[in-house]
Amino acid sequence: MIVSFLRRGTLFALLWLIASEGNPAAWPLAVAGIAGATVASLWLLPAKVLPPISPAGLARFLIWFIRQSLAGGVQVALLAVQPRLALRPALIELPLTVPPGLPRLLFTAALSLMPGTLGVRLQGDTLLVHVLDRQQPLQAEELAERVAGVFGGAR
Amino acid sequence: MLLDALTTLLLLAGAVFFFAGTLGLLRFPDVYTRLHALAKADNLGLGCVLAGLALQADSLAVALKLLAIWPLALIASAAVGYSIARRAERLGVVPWQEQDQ
Repeated sequence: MIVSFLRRGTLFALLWLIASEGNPAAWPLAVAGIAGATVASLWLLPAKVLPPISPAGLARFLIWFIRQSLAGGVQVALLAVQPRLALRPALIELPLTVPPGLPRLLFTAALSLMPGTLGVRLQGDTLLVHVLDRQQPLQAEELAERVAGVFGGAR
Repeated sequence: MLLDALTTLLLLAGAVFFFAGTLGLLRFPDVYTRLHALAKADNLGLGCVLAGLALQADSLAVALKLLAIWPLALIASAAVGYSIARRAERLGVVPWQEQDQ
């Protein structure tokens, strides 16, 4: 509890430092803001429901994710500027292997920013996905593995 | 010099992605495909613009501030895209299908 309070407090303090560009003039506001954000964060996402996060896994995920979102943006941009629309959309039911909670949230959010996929509805253990091209293979399995890597779960 | 060139390149790339995203928003046939265009192309455009501007920042804090906008916008975009898509699906909006040639 104290450890996660300090850890999140440090994170919010760092954010404040960046947002205020290191200007110390408004320090009482900074203290109130950082304390408020930390309490709200622990209230909304208590430390005991947060699975342990592996920093190395997170770094690997981010590098891979940036590449994927680059590919996603390029693909949809090319589709948009083509004279003839080459869309073959479909709704697909995707069985989920990532555990509920934060991992599943990360999975759904990341999938929506990756090439050709958009999360539509989470229900039970399936995610309804809208795809731009139903002949393009889904990268759901690799994403699930990488999300598992973020949360330190060896799967 | 090199920084300026890199900034110009990134800003131009950002403009191209924003343009393509807007084109997709106007041209794509239904709400789901339009969300694809917005969630992906515009986010990439934003990332390019922010990276280009961060290279010109006077201090590290300003550069980090610019770069911090990107993940926040990505989170908002993923959440809003999901919410709109779910609402559309709940209202019974059937995804557009291409005609067989």
